[in-house]
Amino acid sequence: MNCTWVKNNLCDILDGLLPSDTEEQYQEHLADCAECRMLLAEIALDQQALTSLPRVSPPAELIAGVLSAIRQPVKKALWPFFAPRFAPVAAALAIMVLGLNFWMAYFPHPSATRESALIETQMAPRLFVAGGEEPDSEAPAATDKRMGTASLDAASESALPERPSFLLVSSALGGSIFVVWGAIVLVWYKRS
Amino acid sequence: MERYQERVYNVAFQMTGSHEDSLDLAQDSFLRVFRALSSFKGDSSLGTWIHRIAHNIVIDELRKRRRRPVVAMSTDTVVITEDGEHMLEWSAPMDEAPEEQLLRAEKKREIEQALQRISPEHRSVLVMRDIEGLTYEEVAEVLGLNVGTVKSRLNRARLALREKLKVMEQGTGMRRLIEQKGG
Repeated sequence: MNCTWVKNNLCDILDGLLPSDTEEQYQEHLADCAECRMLLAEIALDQQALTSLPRVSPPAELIAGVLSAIRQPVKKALWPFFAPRFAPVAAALAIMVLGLNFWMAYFPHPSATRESALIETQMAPRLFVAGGEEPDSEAPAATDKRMGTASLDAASESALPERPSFLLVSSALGGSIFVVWGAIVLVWYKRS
Repeated sequence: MERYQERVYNVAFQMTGSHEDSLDLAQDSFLRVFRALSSFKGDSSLGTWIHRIAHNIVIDELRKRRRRPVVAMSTDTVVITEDGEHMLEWSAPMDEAPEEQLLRAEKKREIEQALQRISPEHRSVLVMRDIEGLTYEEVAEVLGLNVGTVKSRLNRARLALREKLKVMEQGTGMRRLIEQKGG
């Protein structure tokens, strides 16, 4: 038994709830420790002073104020209601945008593939020139002609279906999901 | 509401030391009670539930104030009665000697001031246990803690209060000494 033990067990000491064997040890310590005796006497006085603090009477306007506040129509705050309900939509939109990104990255449009193949073919003579060989004087004209033919080949371009842009697809899908979900939440809010 | 208004108001007053703040906090507490009444499941008594709401509102307010400190107001003994009159609540026994009355009044003032100087967490357990007279179990229910933790917090609160009082008593002693020498 020491002073720290006394400080850690003030409640049981003040309430007289110490078990008999502990009580004996505590009394022994108290007989030897003037500091603990003083502390306990002071704390007992503090407790007595706290217990005898007067109770205060609430003013009459307390109830009147509460009643008047209750009678006022409560304005429903929109954001706290909507925010948690829009979270799943926001998450769905994020997943969709990510999915579209992957789709665009890994499955390029066939026309894009064809265009890149043509560009590679057309770039070949220029690379050859860059390699140091003397270019044929007619080659640039021929290359330009081939490039023009390839890029402006309307017939072959129209044969491939036009794919809508990523931005258009994601905006249309995201927007429609958001509008439908918003309408559902609004009806829900009005009913609640 | 009439049944619990005194309890709620006293909790707010002992925690803030201001009648004006206590009125606002008690009103907020009852409004919260009114709005959350449908969610009261009866796990605890209605009194304990209301006390918990009031306690949370007061503690929130005190935490806000801790972030923007204000000068503590003296907790004088003037209260407003239901008739709107101001009266002294302190009632010393009629047969008490004037010196004893003075000492008692001084001790009361000191303890009220010291109470305002300890942390809200310590203050709340002392208010609940010693002033409001709640059992350890009731205090534990209001705070959402177990009885052991409540006792432990009370021990620390009593020691913290004693420390503040000791400092104040030393100050008072010094003041008296100066007054005596001056006189």
